Amino acid sequence: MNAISHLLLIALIFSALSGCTVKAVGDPDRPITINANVVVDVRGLKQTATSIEDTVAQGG
Amino acid sequence: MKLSIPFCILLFCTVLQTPAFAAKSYDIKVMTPEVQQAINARQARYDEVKALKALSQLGENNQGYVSVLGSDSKAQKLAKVENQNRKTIYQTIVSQNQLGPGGMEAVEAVFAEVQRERAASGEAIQLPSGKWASK
Repeated sequence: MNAISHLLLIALIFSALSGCTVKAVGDPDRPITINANVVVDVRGLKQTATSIEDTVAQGG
Repeated sequence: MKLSIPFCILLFCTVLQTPAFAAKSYDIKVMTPEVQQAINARQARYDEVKALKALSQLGENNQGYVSVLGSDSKAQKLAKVENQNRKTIYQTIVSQNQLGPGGMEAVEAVFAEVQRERAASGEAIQLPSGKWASK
């Protein structure tokens, strides 16, 4: 298997795993579906929210 | 099919990068003057908001904003500017991460959850069901 075949296989696997997801990952009990093209990862969003609120609280 | 070790490592790393395995980051990618001002203003009034929450004049609602629960005029004034600042921050996250029109609802819901978790004992919080409770 040459290098090009390797790269094609990686691209195919990546597409299969990430290309068509419409539900949020993170908490499978609370998926947030926005539209067919946008995925919101609740875990990632929560990390961002926590970080911002930590920053706000530091000013207190 | 014979797979080389470097190829297997690369494949493993690629799989770990997919949304199913890695939490996606939604940072404020560009700190605009508006967002910086909103954060600074929230920092400046943090103690006042906290004090009004302790008096149950303010509570964290389930949409990521503070609600006025009493008749205190100061609480009403603070809630108005606090919520304006929060909205600026939420809208920036939505726009800079291209979350689309429905993204605002998701951002508000997650911030509301974080606020509920951070609330001190005795503070009023609105549950996802809409019911108000004392933490």
